[in-house]
Amino acid sequence: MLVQSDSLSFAEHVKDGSACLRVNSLLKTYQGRGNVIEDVSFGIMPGEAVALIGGNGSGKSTLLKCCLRLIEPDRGEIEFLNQKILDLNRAQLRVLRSRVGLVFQHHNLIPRLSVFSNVILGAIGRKGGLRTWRHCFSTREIREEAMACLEKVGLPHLAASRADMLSGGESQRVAIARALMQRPDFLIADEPVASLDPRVGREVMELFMELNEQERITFFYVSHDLDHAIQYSNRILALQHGRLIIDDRSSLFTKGELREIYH
Amino acid sequence: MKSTTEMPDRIMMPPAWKFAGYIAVVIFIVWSFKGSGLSVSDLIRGLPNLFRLVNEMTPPNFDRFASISKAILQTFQMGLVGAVVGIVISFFLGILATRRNTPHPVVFHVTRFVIAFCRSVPDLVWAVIFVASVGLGVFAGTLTIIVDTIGFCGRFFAEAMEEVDPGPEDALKSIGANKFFIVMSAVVPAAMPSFVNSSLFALEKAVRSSVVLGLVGAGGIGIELKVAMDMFEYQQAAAIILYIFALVISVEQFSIYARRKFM
Ligand SMILES: Nc1ncnc2c1ncn2[C@@H]1O[C@H](COP(=O)(O)OP(=O)(O)OP(=O)(O)O)[C@@H](O)[C@H]1O
Ligand SMILES: [Mg+2]
Repeated sequence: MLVQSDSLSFAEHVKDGSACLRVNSLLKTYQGRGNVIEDVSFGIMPGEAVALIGGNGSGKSTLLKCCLRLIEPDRGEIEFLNQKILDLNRAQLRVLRSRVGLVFQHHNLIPRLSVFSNVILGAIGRKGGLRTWRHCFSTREIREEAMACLEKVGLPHLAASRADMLSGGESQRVAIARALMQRPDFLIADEPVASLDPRVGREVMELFMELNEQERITFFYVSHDLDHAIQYSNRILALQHGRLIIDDRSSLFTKGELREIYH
Repeated sequence: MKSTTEMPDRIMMPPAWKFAGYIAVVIFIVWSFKGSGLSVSDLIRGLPNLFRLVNEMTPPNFDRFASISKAILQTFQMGLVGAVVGIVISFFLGILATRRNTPHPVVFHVTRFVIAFCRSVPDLVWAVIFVASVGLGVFAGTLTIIVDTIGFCGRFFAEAMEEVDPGPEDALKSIGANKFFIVMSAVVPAAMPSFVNSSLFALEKAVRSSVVLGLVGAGGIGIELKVAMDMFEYQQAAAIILYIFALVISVEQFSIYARRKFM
């Protein structure tokens, strides 16, 4: 199935330059794997919430990481927050990355450090390494903000726990708190509710929506939950074998139609 | 149900060249017994001498308690300082000697070579070299232990850092941290148990080696032992050996305790 993309509105994004993330003809190849991302182009407008769906191994995580150049794409253009990121030098890239929160699929918390220290490290990009290295070196302002972020995800009572002792759901939410600590303009999340139970999963999605609507943080996330993808987004992108096969408004889809992409 | 693919054979005959190789290794080992001078008859002939020596050593003579205590303290200090300085240097060399963290592949290979070189030259050889360059005394011994510790810790620190999960590093990279603080904040906490473990082994090794360095004039208790033996003061030598035994055992016990405490 190939749903015709709303090509007019997409073309508009690309033309008027108002998109805050614009990806053009992206290609990524792994040795011996062929093209993991093939000729992918799309744009995301400021303030949008966009869901990315696709089967296992379709290239979703790779695509997200390419957007921040955590994985170096082989070809294509990426313009993020008005910067052509493939042309940035290392210092400029660090500044850009500090403005974009990324919640990894595997959370990637730092083991053996406390939850509190992990959240504080979310400020490492904007406050520098010394102030965030150990929480005792942090300013009062940073420490209070970290607690506030933990409160947003409902885990202030775990501040002193070790990050590698948490349950999957808890560590997921700590990772979200760390991303919030970045005060991001743009939030990327790779299956942010995959390890959460349905109730907490909904709560976390509601939190993202709240941030999206009230603080106008643009939100781009991967989900395997089609109900979520439809309910919590303005637009849906779908990848199949590294190709973008859907790019359209969420309200146009039913769950049944979206399920087709997994065949 | 029988699988269509064939089961592996119970016994696999190695190819002829491998078989010949095994035979050659066995022959070489047997031949080496001859080269090593291992001889039961010589051992039996030497046993009375050994008994006589032990007999002449008892009871140990603790007359020079004060001066030997001073020497043993100095020996320990030499080992301790050598190990601490060596560990600190190894930490930085270790960072340069990990593929992911090194600033440049050339730096990687150079540091790997330096570490391997420190390791492959035995400590007594280093001691002779340092005695020849900085003169007789503790300083030559301390330098020896520093170099020896670098050879040991540099390698294990680098390996520990290579082995940590790259996820947390990616996370800090995506927040916009620079390379140095990625190592300090993500790699170091994860590799810490391994660092502590290697450091404690290094300390044990340093103390053991500080005891013998005196034999070539590089300070410490070793020289006392040599003098006592050369002057046929066997009872005094026995006392010194007991001192050494106590020192090495205490350090090992401390090491076991610290390891259990930390892990
Ligand atoms: N470093 C790598 N080297 C080689 N192949 C890789 C590498 N990383 C990912 N791949 C391959 O690229 C493909 C896409 O991986 P990716 O992680 O982007 O998939 P995904 O859509 O996120 O899947 P999932 O839903 O399971 O998270 C997979 O086939 C994967 O095996
Ligand atoms: Mg993925």
